[in-house]
Amino acid sequence: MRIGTPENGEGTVVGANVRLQGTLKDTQDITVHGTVEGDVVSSKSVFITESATVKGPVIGETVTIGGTVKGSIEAKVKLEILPSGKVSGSIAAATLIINAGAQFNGKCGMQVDSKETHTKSEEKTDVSGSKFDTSKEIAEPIAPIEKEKTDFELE
Amino acid sequence: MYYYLLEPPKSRSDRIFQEQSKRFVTRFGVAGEMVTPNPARSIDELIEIALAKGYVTIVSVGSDRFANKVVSSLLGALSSIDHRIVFGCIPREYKNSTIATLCHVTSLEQACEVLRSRYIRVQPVGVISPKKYFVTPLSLQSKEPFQMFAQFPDYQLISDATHITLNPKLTLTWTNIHKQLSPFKKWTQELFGKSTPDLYSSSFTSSTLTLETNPHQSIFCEGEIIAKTPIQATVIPDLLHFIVKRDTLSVQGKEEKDRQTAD
Repeated sequence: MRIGTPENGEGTVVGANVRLQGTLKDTQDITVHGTVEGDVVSSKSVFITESATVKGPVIGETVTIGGTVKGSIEAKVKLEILPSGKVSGSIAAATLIINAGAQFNGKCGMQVDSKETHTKSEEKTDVSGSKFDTSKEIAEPIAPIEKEKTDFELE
Repeated sequence: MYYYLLEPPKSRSDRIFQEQSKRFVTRFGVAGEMVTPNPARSIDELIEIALAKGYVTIVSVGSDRFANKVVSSLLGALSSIDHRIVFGCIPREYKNSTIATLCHVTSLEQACEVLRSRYIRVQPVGVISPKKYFVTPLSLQSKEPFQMFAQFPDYQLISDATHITLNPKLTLTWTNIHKQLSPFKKWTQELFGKSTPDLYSSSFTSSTLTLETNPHQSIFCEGEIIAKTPIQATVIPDLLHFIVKRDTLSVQGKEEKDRQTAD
């Protein structure tokens, strides 16, 4: 006798005539057309449409803002603010797209995975084929060549 | 082993369907005790008798409404989850039947074949307090829009609606048809290549919810009133052991060719 498993639920859609209070959390996509006062958290994508207003943090893998958001936004993969989008609050994303006409007031932080950059720098090789660390190269101070030259001229 | 509950026939076609069902279950070797509920013996009583006799496969023969009643009575009769008790179904209709879709059957012959193969899948069941189980969607309709309040574990919401549907997985969907574009406007917009997103439809899924409306509305299950708002609903994910058709992978048309060669 085999026993199956129930299927997962579909995504959440907040209609334009809905006023929601609390933490809206879903493992599927979330689309907001209405008003949300609280957190909007999804493991997948979050889409805030033109008619929507969100007062609270928005967290998702891919976040698209076409409406008004008063709160922080965290996108693990991509954040896009559409021309109709209005954002007031800090944003953090690995990839950020702000279209012309969009309004954004707040701090912006680009998430860069430290492990990923380290491995990339290690993999880089120079012409002779030997590996070198680019991060060290950048850290070395640039010698003040022009200043030395002027001193010599004075002597 | 099999206990068949036959829906009381309302017409001549219903009687013919029942006779056909009896013939098919005998031919497929899954015949068992067959009973029809009547004013003297309700579905609840018949199921209690079946469980007392030791039957483990309860089969509903009839419409979706009747199947839903049998499921509700069966689960209500079980004091705790009993994995031995299995529910099967021979649907009356196959085109617009939720139960037939759940079983993945398209004909009477296939339904009997499915009963014989006994492939079991755990089906989520919705419960409205007090102890009203449903496997087919619940609906709530009104010509005039009404105000609704829904309370979920982490959030609450207010909206207006004309149509509400609640499925057994507890996905609550609603819409206000008065705020939607008319079919003509939709058609003209689509004609000119404009996309028309449905802004006034909402969909939420939760393990538990409370639904309230102003004014109070009747809740229908397959055309029958089963409750009135406010309601408290919960989903039990692994409650019903349902005999369904085994999923198969096949090349289109290969089965037909195989049958022809076998003939």
